[in-house]
Amino acid sequence: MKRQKKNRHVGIIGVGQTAFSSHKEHQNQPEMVHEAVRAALEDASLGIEKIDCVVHGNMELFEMQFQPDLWHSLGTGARGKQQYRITTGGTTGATLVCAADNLVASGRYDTVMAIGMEKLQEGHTTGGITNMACPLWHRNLQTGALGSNTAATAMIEEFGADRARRASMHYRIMMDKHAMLNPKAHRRLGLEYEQAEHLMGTSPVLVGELRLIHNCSQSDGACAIIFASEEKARSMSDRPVWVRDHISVHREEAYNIFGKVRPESTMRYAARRIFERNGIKKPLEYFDIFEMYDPSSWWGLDWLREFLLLEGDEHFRLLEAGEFDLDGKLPLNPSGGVIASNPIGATAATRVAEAALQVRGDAGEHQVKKEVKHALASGFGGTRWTVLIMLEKDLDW
Amino acid sequence: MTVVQRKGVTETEELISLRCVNTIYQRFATGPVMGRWFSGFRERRFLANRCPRCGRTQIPPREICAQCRVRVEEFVEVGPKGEICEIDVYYYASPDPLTGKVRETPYATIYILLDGATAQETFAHRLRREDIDEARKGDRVRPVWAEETQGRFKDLLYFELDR
Repeated sequence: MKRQKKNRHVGIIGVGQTAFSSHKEHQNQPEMVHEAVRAALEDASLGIEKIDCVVHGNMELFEMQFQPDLWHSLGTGARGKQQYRITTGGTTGATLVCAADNLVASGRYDTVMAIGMEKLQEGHTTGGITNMACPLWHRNLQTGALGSNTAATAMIEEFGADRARRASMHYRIMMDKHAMLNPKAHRRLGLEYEQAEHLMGTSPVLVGELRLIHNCSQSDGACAIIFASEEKARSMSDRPVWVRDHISVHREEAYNIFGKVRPESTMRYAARRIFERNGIKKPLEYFDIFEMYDPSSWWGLDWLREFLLLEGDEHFRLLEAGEFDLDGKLPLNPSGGVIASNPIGATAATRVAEAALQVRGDAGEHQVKKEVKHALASGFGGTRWTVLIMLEKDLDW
Repeated sequence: MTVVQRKGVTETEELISLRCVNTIYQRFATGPVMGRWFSGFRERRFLANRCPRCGRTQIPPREICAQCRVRVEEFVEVGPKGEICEIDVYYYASPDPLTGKVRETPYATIYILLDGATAQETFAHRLRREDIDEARKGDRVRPVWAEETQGRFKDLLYFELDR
């Protein structure tokens, strides 16, 4: 495939997030969307009249509200503007970023606002996922988004039960420690590493090795990101964060990949392709932070090896040595990640928003100590849909 | 109830939420390929299809091989017995869209390499509830069919250990 060149550079010039929580009884959907939109506009010091186009994203069958972008336009401010809607499952928020980046890079629009939202408490997420599965076959089998037991058992086979279970809990508690520093995070439990042993044995089992404590939350919340062409970004912002590249990969098989020969993961495939075309040989050395879409501590741990193109137990050793902590070699999910907050249509957009804040140095209490010049963000959804997005502080590649 | 500030006055305001239940009946065309799969069910047979280029068996059959981007027209019978490659034992009580009821837990999904299938292609289905504690990766399983098969999901009840 040809190097996917952009017509022009694109910068992120504003981000806004609501706080994420289990319930938002004090506001309806447009009001929640509006909170994030207003925050993004304030962050960019812009009025809505400066936005050419709005890209809206959620999983409409989770709230079971058709054409949500129309109702939500009360909150997005899209009236009279171009508007598009994205609905790609867990990946929605990342696809929003890809779409907004493409819309600006193409030259079609100078400023695009991407807005991802979900109010999971207003629908039934597992019911939605289960009822939406392929009607010809998988609908009889689908059980919500609880797929990571197979990754857990594979890691237990490879690294031994004790080491794998400890590493997964270490990952989980590390994420909680990061979430404790992020006032917008949904689940902030105040866990300590000494509790690992206890939690490994007492947290309710969801599926096989996957316990409640390992898994992501169901959250309400919204995230808005404003993209602008290089010229506009430079005139509107003193610290634009550049979107260097993005890649989107998925496969049609979801249930039939657990045989004796396993295909390359969409994570490793995506990482190989995007790093190769950007000349990045050692992603672990290159990137300063990674905001990963980690639906559970098992998948999060497993995918580190894939995304960072590591081999053997390198990802375990890095985790055990604290290299993914806020002051480590590659701080992972300073925000607390998806395990802490998961408003599905906003989740992957939040990875990019948080990565952009880290590049700017504006993340607040969970800002990493070192300078962040190169950031990586990922999205994930059903049928192993994987998106990787690279952000840069300087326009120098 | 929530406390709101309005023009400097603190008031208590009732928060009203609406509740509703949706029940939707649907009908889906299976097409010639999945139609063949379901017609095989009437005779209690698993009809996979084989990619003419890479040779992999697809279970259930698919219209094309997405890797080779070619139409897949050759059907091959696989199974009915096979080997367990992975087991997911569910304790989370999820809704069953075929009945609308909450599934009884625990239940298990197994990923089965049916006899005659190529090594990467597993077939997922339920394991007999009574076999959950005993079943291990590598164990042999066989299908259990409904008394009357009509060419639908429910013809295939579950798999059980083949002992």
